[in-house]
Amino acid sequence: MATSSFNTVFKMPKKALREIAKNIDKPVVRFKLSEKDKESLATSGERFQKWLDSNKS
Amino acid sequence: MVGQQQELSLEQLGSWLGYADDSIIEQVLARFLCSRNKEVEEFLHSSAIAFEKSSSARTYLLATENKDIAGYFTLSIGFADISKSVDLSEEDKQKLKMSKCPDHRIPCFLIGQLGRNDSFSHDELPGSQILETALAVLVQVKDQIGGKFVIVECENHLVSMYQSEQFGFHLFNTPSKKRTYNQLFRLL
Repeated sequence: MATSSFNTVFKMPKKALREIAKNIDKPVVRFKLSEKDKESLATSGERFQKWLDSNKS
Repeated sequence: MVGQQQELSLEQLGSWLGYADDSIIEQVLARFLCSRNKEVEEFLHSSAIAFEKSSSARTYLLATENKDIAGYFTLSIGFADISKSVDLSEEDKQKLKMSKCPDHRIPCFLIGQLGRNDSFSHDELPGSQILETALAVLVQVKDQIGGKFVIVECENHLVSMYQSEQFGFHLFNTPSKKRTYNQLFRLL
């Protein structure tokens, strides 16, 4: 992983573009966030604050 | 920490920023070490907060209750050069709806960073779990605003994980004089 990835324009060869075209309307394995993860993201800031407070005392 | 199974929760770096000074958050992030890939470590230590503040990327952390970061990933918008699409068949062009982009650049999703802390073993947090979570976040974004595919760059030893049946990434560029890493894409 390179930080330069963020500034790269990725050159897609014809073969890759054909692959995308061939499969664009086909179902792919979908990954789903669990309810626990969704809840965790929604309360991330508040939990961080609680942790900070508990470490002050 | 190795050997002790700890429950990890998914955190957004951005949501921490409203609750503490950068210096305090930097101290938490500094505990993440990744000797396998120093760029992954360095990004979290030195760049993640700035990327967050400029909305250039979003960093997600898998952390213990004590805010030890077991792993993290950073997502962003990338750009793909699709100038080669002019050579595709009309049918393929139609399917892609890309050929009319004047500068042959289209946005895609980018997994810019992904790594595990040295203090956590593969059993405690497999790389596949971090990747699954990153893809799950991207699927949510894709469902809301659209988007065709995600790109990632990685070292040779990680290519097999990305290409596995579980994840189904396609390798489209390998390292060269100008390119350090492999480049893979996956439809979302």
